[in-house]
Amino acid sequence: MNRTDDISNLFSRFGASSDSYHEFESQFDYKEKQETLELEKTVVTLEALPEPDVVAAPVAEAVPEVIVETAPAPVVEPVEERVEAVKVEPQAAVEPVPLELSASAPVVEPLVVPEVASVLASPATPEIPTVVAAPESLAAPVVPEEQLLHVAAATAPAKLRNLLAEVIQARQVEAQVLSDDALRHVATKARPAKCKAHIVVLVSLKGGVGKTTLSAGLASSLRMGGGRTLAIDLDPQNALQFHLGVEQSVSGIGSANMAGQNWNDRLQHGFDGSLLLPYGVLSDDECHSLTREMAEDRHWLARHLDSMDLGEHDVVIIDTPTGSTQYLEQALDVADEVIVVTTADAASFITLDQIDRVLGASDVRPAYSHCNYVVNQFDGSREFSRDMLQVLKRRLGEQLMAVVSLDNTLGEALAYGRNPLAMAETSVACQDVLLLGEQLKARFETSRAQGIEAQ
Amino acid sequence: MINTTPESEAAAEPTRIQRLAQAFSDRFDQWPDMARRTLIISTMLICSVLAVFIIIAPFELYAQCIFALGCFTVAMILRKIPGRLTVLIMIGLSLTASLRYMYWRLTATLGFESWVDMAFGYGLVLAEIYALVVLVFGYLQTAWPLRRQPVLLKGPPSEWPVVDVFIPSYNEALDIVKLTIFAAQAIDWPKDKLRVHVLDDGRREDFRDFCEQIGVNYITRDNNRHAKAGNLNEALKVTSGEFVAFFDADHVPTRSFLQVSIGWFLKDPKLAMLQTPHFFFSPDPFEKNLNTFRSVPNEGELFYGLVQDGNDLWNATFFCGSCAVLRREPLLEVGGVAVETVTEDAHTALKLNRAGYNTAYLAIPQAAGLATESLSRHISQRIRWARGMAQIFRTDNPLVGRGLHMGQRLCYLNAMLHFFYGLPRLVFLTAPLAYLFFDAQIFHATGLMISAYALPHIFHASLTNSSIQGRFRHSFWNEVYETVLAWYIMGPVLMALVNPKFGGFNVTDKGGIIDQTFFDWKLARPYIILLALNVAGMIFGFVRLAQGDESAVTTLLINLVWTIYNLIITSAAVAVASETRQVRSEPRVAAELPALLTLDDGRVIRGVTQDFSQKGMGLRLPEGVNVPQGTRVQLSLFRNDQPSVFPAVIAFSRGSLLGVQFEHLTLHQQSDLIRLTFSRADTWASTWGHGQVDTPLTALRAVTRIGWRGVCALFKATTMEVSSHLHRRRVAPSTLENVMDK
Repeated sequence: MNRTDDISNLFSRFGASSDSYHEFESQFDYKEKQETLELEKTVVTLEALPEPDVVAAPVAEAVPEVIVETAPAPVVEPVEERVEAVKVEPQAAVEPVPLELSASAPVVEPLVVPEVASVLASPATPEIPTVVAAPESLAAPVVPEEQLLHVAAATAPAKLRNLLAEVIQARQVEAQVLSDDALRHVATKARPAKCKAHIVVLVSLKGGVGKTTLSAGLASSLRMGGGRTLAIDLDPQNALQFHLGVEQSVSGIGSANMAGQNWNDRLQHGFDGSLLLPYGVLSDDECHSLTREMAEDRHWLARHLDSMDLGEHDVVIIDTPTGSTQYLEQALDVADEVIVVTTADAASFITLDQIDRVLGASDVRPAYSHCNYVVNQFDGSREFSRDMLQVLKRRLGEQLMAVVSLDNTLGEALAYGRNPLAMAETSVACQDVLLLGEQLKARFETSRAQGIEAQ
Repeated sequence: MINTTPESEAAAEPTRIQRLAQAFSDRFDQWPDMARRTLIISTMLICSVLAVFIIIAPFELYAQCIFALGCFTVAMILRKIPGRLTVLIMIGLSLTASLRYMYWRLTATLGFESWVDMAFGYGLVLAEIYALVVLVFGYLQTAWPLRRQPVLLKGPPSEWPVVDVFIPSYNEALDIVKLTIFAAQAIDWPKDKLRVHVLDDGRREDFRDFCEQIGVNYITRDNNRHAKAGNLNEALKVTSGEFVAFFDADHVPTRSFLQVSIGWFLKDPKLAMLQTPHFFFSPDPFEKNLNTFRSVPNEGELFYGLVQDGNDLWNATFFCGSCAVLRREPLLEVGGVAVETVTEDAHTALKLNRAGYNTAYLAIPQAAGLATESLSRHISQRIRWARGMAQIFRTDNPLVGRGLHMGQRLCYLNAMLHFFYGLPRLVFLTAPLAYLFFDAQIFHATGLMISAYALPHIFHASLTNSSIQGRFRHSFWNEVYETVLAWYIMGPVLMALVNPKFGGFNVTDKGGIIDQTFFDWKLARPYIILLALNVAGMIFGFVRLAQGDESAVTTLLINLVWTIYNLIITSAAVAVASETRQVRSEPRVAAELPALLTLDDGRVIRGVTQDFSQKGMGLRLPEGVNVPQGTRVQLSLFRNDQPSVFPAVIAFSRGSLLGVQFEHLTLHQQSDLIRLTFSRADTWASTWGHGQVDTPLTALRAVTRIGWRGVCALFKATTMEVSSHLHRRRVAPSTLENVMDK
């Protein structure tokens, strides 16, 4: 059994080994006083409010009027009057609340009106609508302004994409011809020599496990001395570029207008000096032609990489789409390191057998390649997650390479277009990713050393 | 005689001398019994004769000076060399100087001429004899600390014995006792063999509820006879485990407690009691008021660091009521916990030793508790101990009765004699005044002769004690501690000597807060009087010196130096009476543990804890991270890489330092939290005996500085008192507790 350091610290004081110590994981049956705890909680939350008397607001009917009056025009006087009027007897309002809500404590949270004091101070600020968002009965009338903004933001790129799609469609036939030509050019079906660069492929049969996030993290952190690190996005979602901070729409591997070009010319610069080959925004036809290319040439990706003249200090990170696809096949064909990304939950677990089959099939990947697993989005605070992790540890054994904690920093970084690793100091997940990068690097170093020895 | 040999001592590579000595002792062991005994006795005889000659050899002034100087130089050189042998030689030198002094004192200085001289003179001699006896016994007790190492359990847990854990409580708050109960439950021991019992003499409903909720046994009785001892005995009747571990309600055991302490019982079937140190994670009133927490060893540290370890050599370890394990059978055989005296614990150990059982001491803190909060409570606790010891001295004197060998008798005797220091201490603090005020010739000798004999005695004793005790007691602090308590202890001890039945039992209630700084006038009264007397004496002395009485200059100077020393000690005692406001009611324990902070918005921040208390935690986050005050967070702590998560709110935030306060923890969470903090095995042990080692001059400087602070505090308090009297606004608040509990 694993021992915490306090026992070994103590035992080393008198020169004994902590091996003889027994730890007992005791489970106690405590009779938690659930109800009273909840009640206490509710009351405390209410008391903790900046202005207890204003809490009464959601209860009173007057509230919607406050909004109606203040929202359109910044009138100072009426608001103050209204809120004044709303000030019901504090006790009367506060006391019944815990009783009503004792069954479902979370409901209290929305009641915690953000800073009603600030409403008084600057009555016409956009914060006012949020005041109304509180009681459920009143939820309908107002959509918070921020949400509106979000909706607008979401629709804008969609339109843009449609427009782009039209333009691309117009060019499509021409592109088709060009790409067919290119394909014929490289029609020699023999497999090119092994790429000198170290190629890491991230795969998963289940979506949403964070392949792309991890790819981006590795691309911006994993760097061999003197070499480049390329991230290649083989996922039609084309998300990797955003993870690496390439915001503008750029053409990628599948874009018809680039067909026949060397991939070196299409590299984009991402965070931390990483280089990125995006998938690109493809029309259906472009997509078809790409998959056809792959179907026809088993070593399509290997050939492209071969043409890039990568050095032995270069690292290629390949992000693949979810599931068993042609993209995956192509990627596995060149892989040095296959990293199966999984999460500590049942849904991921049941795909493990399948991925074993895929990876275990003959000729699917080079014989020299290694296959490892990374548990991503691990939420250590949940007992279930911890148990799942134990299950995974048992099942995967040595192959479990790393566990990356769940950390919303990463998601937020994507939303704001920030480099997640810029906050590595404070983010546990980032630390985990950096660690994973270090592990891979160490493997590369040794494999390179072995390679030299072998020669 | 010696029940164990230290095993770790031999671990290091033996030097040549050690090998020679070992070879000699091996050969010696093979001798026939008679020859061995004869050799030992004859050696002892020769040594004694030699010692007698050295002690009684009369020297005139210069010879004595040269002899003393020679001895002192040797001692000064020796103290730089670590090791047990040098300590033994230093003890020899110190005994030579002290016994020579005492012999000379008794034979050459007692020619008193008047009744006044005789009264003061014999008083001082008696006090000196007492001090010498305690010194000699002290050497005997502490010359060779056993330094017992734990015996670890070898067999599988299924073969481990059943242990009852007793947590007696009378009036402590549930909040404090909770900590102990949870920690007792979390001790790493097979669950079916660990039975936690809360013995509630207060018969409180909240205790009953709590125990029921977390599933520990709750025991009450229908009377409170014999206080704590009675409480324990009642519980012994309704429990059955082979071993009983005792924890006071505010002593929190670590999870390793039993696995570290039970081993010796399995190894030594005659072992009846094993005591571990009482360690305190909050400052006692001395430490609090003098601001010496963790920088100067406290009063108890000498006892647990050295005295108990020394007792252990003689198989005379005392039971101290808490943080100890007893074997049930012998305990029942001696009639359970002793009820005849108010220090039931030491008396129980004495009975066990008398019955032929062994007691042991393991100097590894495996539990920690709260120190008494206020000076008055501290004093009343010590009064109880002193009274109890005096009671045992009277009713069950260790010098007589069967079952003990000489070493045990002397160890117990010294423990009791120690508490008789009240009167002698007061004598020493006032003795020079007899000469300065009344011109009493308490010393019938010239000043130079006194210096030549007394100074070696004093210097050797200080130096040797500083070498022996350096890690656990700093020089001169003993005098400060004793001076504070002397007046209060004197009465009860003398009364208990006259009639042991006098007086009741009082519980030391802990966990209170002193919410404002105040000067404890009532408690300080004796020291203030002493201080005033000594100041007057000093002025008197200087005046007489200025008048230029040629013949008495050396005597005057000796008495003046003595008075000034007394002034320093008394003013330090006055400083203790200036109660400092306690900022936090929750004492904090320093500990650096990894922690994760999960914010409401899902960010996870890695941090390191700085300290913990029962309800909160201090954290250091990486540079540049700022979490505003009032943020709700989830704090994760780890055990075997398994996190436990605790909801908390940020109570303060300054730069990368955070204070979090836990909120609404469920019972499970409270239990987990204690497991991860107070229950940790190494927290207390790592600060044990690692304080600054004593150097007498530094210690004297520190005591002087504190004395000066005491004088200032007294001055300030007087001014405030006077001004408030002038304004006649209000009478002084009644913040005083009745110290002389009846």
